Amino acid sequence: MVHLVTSDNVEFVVDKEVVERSVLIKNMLEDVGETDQSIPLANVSSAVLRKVIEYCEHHRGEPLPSADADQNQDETRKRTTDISEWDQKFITVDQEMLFEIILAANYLDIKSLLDVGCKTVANMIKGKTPDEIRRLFNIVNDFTPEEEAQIKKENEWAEDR
Amino acid sequence: MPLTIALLMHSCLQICEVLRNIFSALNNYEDITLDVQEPSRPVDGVDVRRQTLARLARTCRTFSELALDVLWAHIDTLNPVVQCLPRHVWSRHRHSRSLKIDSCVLIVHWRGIEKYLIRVRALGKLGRSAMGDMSQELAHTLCSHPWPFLLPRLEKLSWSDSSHESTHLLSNLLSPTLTELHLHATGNLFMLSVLSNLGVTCPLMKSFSTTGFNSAASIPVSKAVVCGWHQLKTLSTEAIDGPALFHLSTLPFLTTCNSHFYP
Repeated sequence: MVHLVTSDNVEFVVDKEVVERSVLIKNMLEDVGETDQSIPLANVSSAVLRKVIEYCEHHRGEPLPSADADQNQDETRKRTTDISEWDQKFITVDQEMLFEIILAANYLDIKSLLDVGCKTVANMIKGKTPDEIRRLFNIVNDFTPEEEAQIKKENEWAEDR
Repeated sequence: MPLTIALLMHSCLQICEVLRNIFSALNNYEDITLDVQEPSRPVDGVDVRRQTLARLARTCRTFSELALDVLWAHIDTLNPVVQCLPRHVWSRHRHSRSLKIDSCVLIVHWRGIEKYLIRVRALGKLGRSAMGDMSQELAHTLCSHPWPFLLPRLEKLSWSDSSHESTHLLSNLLSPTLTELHLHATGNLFMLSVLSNLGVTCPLMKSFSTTGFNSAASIPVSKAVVCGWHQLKTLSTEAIDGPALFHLSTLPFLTTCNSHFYP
């Protein structure tokens, strides 16, 4: 079992097989070897880690993308655009939690979870106007009207009928 | 005094790696794949993925560069290269809607679109002309760029035109960064001379295929071409001769070779 301590000082005891879906933790454990010491996760809160562990538990035993994975395997992963039913339900959370899960997946290096999160955000964005995207994510428009118009003009081909 | 809370963009959307992943997911990760398995689904004639990437590029500065990187990484035809030039330089034929040139492309125009040209890593789509719907005159104009190569970071190219102008344009696209080339063309003399230098101009080639060439005529070309490549993984061409076959047998990464032996 592996002991993890979150940013809000909550300790989780997790099966090694489950937690090793995180490449970061897997590498840590390989470097340090068997230890009873807790691994501090300063960038992950307990609420987010609970969700991450739920994801890793569900996908326990599934093959991990290896570092020396064949390019074709990588392409296959990338081209699988659908999110499974379980993953869809899992990722149906509020926007704050969605972004925190993505941050945690990026930090812990869990590629499949990062993909699920990013595909979900991509689906939220798809077909929206710049104003709608700004409103959705509280983004300040830091372009001058002239700059925005210039980018629009030079990339009009992408919006051509 | 009323308390106003200004909501800020989440820090997650300021991490390049995460943004690149989101934008690539939007593009179904097809950014540099010529063999598109799942075609883009246009809604009302618009490719929603590309439309959204173009819109993301003008949402804010944080998104702009990365969205443009993904948008321009793979273009199906050279039409976007023409269409990002100033509007007075090009227009569309009234009836055919094909692109035509209306005035000279000046050096300042080329410099203005360089930021897009350096982003293109793949051009073409199997079974579709990368020339798009442009005139021969326009193809000639595209060859007047001020650099050694029109798309200096091009890695993958699918080309299916054989006219003199289009072959001239093709020669402007064969940059040293090219690793994948699929040619469907008839072997005119100019084309054969362009191809015979391919081993030198594109030394990093990993995947090469031709269709439409005459077997006998392509032999010297295939020899010159094949013998210049050491990282080749797949080869499919009309015919190769003994020396080329011998060279292929020494290549450590070759997995697929589809060709006739021409004694």
